[in-house]
Amino acid sequence: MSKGIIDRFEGDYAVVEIEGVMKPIRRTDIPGDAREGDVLTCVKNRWQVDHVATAKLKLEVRELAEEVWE
Amino acid sequence: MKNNKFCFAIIIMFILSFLVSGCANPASNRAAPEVQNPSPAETAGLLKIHFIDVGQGDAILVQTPAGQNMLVDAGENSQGDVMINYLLSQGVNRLDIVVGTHPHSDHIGGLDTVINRLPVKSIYMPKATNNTESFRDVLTAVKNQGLKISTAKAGVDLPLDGLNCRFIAPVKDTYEKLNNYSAVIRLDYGSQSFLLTGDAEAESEAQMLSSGIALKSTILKVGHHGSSTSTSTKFLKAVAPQYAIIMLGRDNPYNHPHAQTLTKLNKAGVKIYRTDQNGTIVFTTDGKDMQISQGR
Repeated sequence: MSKGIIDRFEGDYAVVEIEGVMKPIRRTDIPGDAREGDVLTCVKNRWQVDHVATAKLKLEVRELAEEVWE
Repeated sequence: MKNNKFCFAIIIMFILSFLVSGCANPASNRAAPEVQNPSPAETAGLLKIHFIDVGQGDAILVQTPAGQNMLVDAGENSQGDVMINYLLSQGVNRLDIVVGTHPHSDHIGGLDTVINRLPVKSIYMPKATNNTESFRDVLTAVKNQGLKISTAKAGVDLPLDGLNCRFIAPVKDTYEKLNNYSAVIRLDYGSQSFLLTGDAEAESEAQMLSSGIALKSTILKVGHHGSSTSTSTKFLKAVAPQYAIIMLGRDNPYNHPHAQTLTKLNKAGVKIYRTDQNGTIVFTTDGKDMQISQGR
């Protein structure tokens, strides 16, 4: 099963980090409300936003950021 | 004629192979482009700014007349070793300042390798995070090296001796798009000036304009790889550069640089250098004259 994290949007593409590698994916192939940093999971060959995983990851990154920011 | 059509079909298939539709089968990664190193030169009394060819992404090395080194971005994840090799080839074995302009992988991807491999004195990033492994790796490297990140924002001075260097963006604390958090650097040395804009888009450009800061610069690192989201007409008019550098990879799937950006620059009579065509581009100045060399 594929999993990805949206790094950014470039024109008609979302750039998604899949197994550590950035892949351009057509915006039309991911949910319209997806945002930078969202975790995507592949369910029945369709990308969906995993809101629970996204929130969990966001919290982890914030904690790490607070630790390393002056 | 038939052959040409065949070649064209092969090229199209090649380009399409980079795109992923659906999600079951991720396509293979692109090979890291090779950087052609310009030969090392004397830096005493000279400011050297290297726009390093890292394919689709940014990586800029600033070597000051006083012998300090500042690195602004480090390309994609795959470019870590390319960065280290380039820095070492230029005699750079420590960095006084590292700037991650904003948390997108084509800017900060290679930073973790740089931070883990070379001594770094200080690091600046805008107060913005991303959830990618690429970004988390940078924070982890910072933590492991016992460093602390200083916030990059408008008005913060960069401590480089013998020249004026400071952040002029981000002007505000929050944005919807990570590109607009881009740390924008303005560097003055004698009568020469550089504006390094990261991926700042029109929204941030408008804020720089209304902040009243002097924008006129000799050299503009064009925002966001020449995308039409950046280089708004008013901003370009205010910067009024002689030279523009666009940092991007060949055959990128985003059609960078966008035609309207090139048209604007050409209409304004700006001399354009592109890392996809010119390779690594190095500007050397004593504060008066400018020398430009390119890797290919």
